[in-house]
Amino acid sequence: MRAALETIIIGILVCASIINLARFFENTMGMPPREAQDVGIWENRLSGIRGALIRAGYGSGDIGYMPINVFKGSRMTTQEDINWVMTRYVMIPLNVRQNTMDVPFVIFDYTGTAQPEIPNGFVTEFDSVNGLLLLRKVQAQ
Amino acid sequence: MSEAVLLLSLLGLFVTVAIGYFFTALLWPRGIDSSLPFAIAPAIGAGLSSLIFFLFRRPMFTVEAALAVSLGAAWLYRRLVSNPIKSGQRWSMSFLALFLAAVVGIVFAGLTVRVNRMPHGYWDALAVWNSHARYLFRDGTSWQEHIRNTFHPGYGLLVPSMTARLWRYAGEEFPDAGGLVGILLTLTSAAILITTLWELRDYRLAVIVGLILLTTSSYLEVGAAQYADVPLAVYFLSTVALVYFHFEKAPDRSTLLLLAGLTTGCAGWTKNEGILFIFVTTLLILGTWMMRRLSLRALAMFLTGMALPLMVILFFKYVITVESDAIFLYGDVIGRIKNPNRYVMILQSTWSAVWSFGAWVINPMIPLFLLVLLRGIDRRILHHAGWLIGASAILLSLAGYYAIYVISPYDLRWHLNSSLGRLLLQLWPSVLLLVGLAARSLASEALPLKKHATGD
Repeated sequence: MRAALETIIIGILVCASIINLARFFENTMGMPPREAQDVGIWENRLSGIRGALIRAGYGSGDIGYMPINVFKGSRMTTQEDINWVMTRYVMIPLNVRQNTMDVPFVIFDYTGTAQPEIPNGFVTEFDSVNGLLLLRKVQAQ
Repeated sequence: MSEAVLLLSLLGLFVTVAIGYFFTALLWPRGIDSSLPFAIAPAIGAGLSSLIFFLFRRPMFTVEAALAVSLGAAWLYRRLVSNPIKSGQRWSMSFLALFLAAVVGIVFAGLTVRVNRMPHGYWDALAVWNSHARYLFRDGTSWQEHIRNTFHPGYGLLVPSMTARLWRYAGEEFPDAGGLVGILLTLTSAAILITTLWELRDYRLAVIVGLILLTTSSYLEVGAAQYADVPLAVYFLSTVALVYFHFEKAPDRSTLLLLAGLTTGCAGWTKNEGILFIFVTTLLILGTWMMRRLSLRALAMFLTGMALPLMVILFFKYVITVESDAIFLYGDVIGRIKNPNRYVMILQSTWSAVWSFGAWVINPMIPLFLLVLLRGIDRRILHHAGWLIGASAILLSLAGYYAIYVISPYDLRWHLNSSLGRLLLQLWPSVLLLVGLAARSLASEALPLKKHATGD
C-alpha cells in the first residue's frame, strides 16, 4: 500500500516537473531576440563616442550624461534614468555623472528631437548621428 | 561570440573545475567513496579561481597553471598509492534516471537560449555585477579606486571576478561570460543536491528532489540572469552538504570541515547575505564545539578553510571600497522596530512568497512533504549535528533577512517585492536537501525487515 502511494506521489511530482519545465521553456522561447536587448542597442549607439574619447586620450575620469529635456529644465523621466544607468555600464571605466555639464566631456542625448544648438562653452567633439553628441567643454580664454 | 572565444572561455571553465576537483579530492577523507567531489568541484573551483584573480591579477594564468599542475600531480600520486575515490552510487537505467538525464539536457538547452537572448543579463546584472566585472577587466590597477563609482561597490567580487577571468581567458570582452558561469553553477547546485541525497538516502528520493530544483522556473531564470543569487545558493548548499557529510561519514577526520569553511567564506565573497551566513554558521560550529560534539581540530579546520576568503572580504570592504553597510541603520530605526505593521506585512509577504517564489504552474511542495511523511521522518536527524547545524543556519539566515526588512529604510512594500523571492531562492536548494535528508531512505526501511527475516 505504501509503495503504491509513493509511486502515485512520485508520478504526481514527475508530471508537475514536466508542466513546470514546459512553463520555463515557454517563457524562454518568448524572450526577445539577442539583438533587441536595450543595453546591447545602447552599446552600439555609444561605440563611436567611446572611440572618440579614447582618441582624445580621455580614458579615465568624469563625463556627463545630459538628456535634452533635463537641459531645458524639465524633470528627468524614468526612461532617461534608465538610459543613464546603461550609459554608465557602457562607458566603464569612465564615471558618468547624471544631468551635469560641469565636466570636461558631456554625452548630450537629444533622441527624438531635432539636433539642438550646442550649449555655450561647448564644442562638438563627436556626432554619432543617432541622437547622441559628445560635447567638449571649451577652456575659458 | 566567435568559436575561438567560446573555446577559450570553456577552457577557463575547465581549469576552474579541474582545480576545484583536485583540491576537493585531495582533502576528501580516504576510504570514503563518494561522487560529491565531482559534483562540488565547480563551486570550490570558482571560489579558488576568484580568490586567485583578486589576489594575483596579472600573473593569474601562471598561478592557476601552477596550482592546477601541483594539485593534479598530488592527486595522481594519491591515486597511485591508495585506492581512488569511488562512488557508492550505481547508475541504473531506471525510468527516473533516464527522465532526470533528459531534464538536465533540456534545462541546459533552455539556460543556453536564455543567455543567448539576454547576453548582458537582467537589470541588476548590468547595473552591479557586470559593471564590477568591467572595472576589473578594463581598468587596470585603477579599478580599486574607480569601482567606487558603481552601484553597491562593496558587494563581493566572486561573480564579477569569474566573469572578468573568462574575458582574460578569451582575450576579449564578450557579454555572455557571466551567463556561462551562471549555467555552470546552476547545474552544479542540482548535481550537489542529487549526489548528496543519492549517497545518504536513496536514488529515488535524490532524483525526485533534484527534479524539483531543476524545474523551479524562477531558479533557472535567475541562474541565467547573471545575478549572484544562484552562486550564493550553491555555496549555502555546499556548506550544508559538507557539514552533514562530515558528521555522517568522517567525524574523526576534519578535512570536510575545511572545505565547508571555504564554501562558507565564498558565500560571503559572493553577496552580503553570505556574510550573515558566515556569522550564523561560525556561531553554530562554535556552539557545537562548546557542546563537545566537535573536536578542537575540526573547529580549527573550519576556521582555516574560511580564513582566506574572510581576509579577502575584510580587505576589500574596509580597505578598497570603504562602503558602509550601515545603510539599514539610516533614519528612525527605533521607530521602524516599534512599528507592528511592518512585522505583519513581512510575515504576510513571506507566506505569500513561499508558495509562489518558484513561479511554478504546479507547486511541488505539498507532494514533496507528503512523500517525506509517507517515508517517515528519520528520527536520527533530530540528534544529527550535521542536520541540526544546516537547518539552524538556514532558519537563522531567514531570521536575519526578516530583521533586515524590519529595519529597512526603503519603502517596505517595494523592498519586499524586489528582493524577497530571490532571498527564498538562495535558500531553496539547501531547504530541499534538508527536507530530503529528513526522510527515511529505502535502505533503512529494508534493514529491519532483513533483520526480522534473519531472526536477528
